[in-house]
Amino acid sequence: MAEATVVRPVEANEPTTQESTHEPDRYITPVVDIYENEGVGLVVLADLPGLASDDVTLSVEKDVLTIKGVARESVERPWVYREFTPVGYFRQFTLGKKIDQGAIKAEYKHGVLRVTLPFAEEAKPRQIEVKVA
Amino acid sequence: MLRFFDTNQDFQSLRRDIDRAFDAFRTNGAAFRQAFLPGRSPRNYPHVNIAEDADTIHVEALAPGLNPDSIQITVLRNQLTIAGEKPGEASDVKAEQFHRCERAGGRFVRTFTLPAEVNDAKVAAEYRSGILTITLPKAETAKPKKINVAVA
Repeated sequence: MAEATVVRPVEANEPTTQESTHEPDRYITPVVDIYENEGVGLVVLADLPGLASDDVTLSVEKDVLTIKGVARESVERPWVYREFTPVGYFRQFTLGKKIDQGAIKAEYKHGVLRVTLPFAEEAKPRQIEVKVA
Repeated sequence: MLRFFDTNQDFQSLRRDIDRAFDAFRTNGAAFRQAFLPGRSPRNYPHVNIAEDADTIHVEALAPGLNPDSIQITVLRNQLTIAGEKPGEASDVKAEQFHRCERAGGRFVRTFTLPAEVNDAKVAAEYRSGILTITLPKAETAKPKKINVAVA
C-alpha cells in the first residue's frame, strides 16, 4: 500500500521561524543589542564581522525579520595559527504589530549591522489637545 | 621472547592521539565561539589568524564595531600588540530602553609572538568590515640566506 504524504495545513499568517537554515554552510547566531527609542522605533545592532556588503541580506516575511550573512570566500594562506574561520550568520526575530515594515532601514559598517525599525504612525503616542471653553 | 607491550612507545602514541584530538577541537571548535566582544572572553580578544610565507607574515583579527581611531598596533622585534576600544552602547541609551543586550564593549589589548622578526617600518594595516588585517614584512635578518658553494 502506498504511503500518502499529507502536507500540514499552514495557517494564513503563521510565521515561518526556524532555528537554523537548511543550507549546507555553517552558520552561527550573531549577538545583538535591541533598544527602543521611545515613540520612534527600535534599533537592532548585530555583530556580523567579515562580510562584504552584498553578502548581508535582510528580509521580512510574515512578520519575521531574518538577518542572514553568507561567509566570504577566504584567501587561502599558509596558516600557522588559526582561531577563527569565516562562517555565515543567521538569526530571526518576530516583529510586533507596532513596527512599520515598509520603513525598515539597515546599514552595515565596520562589521556591525544596524537595523532601524520605526513604529507605525498609528502606534506612536499622540498628544490630544484639550480645548478649554 | 615475546614482547606484549612497549611502555615507552605506547605512551608516545597515546600522547600523539591526544594532541591530534585537541588539534581537531581547536580548528573546528573555534568557528563556533562567539567572542566578538571584550566582555565575554577578555583574555583572547580579538581572535586572530596568523599566516606566514617566505617574506611576509599576515595577521587577521576578528573585531567588529571598533572605533577605527582607537586601534593601536605596535611592533617590537617579533612581538605584535593590538590595542583598541569597542564602544559599548551609546551613552544616551538608558538601561530601561534595552530589549536585548548581548554585545559588550570596552578596551582590549593582546600581544602575540610572531614566527619571525619583522621590519617595523613596512608594517601595513587595514580595517574592513570588522576584520583588522595586518601585513608584516619579515626583517632582512630573519630571512634565510643562500650560501654559494665554491667548487674547486
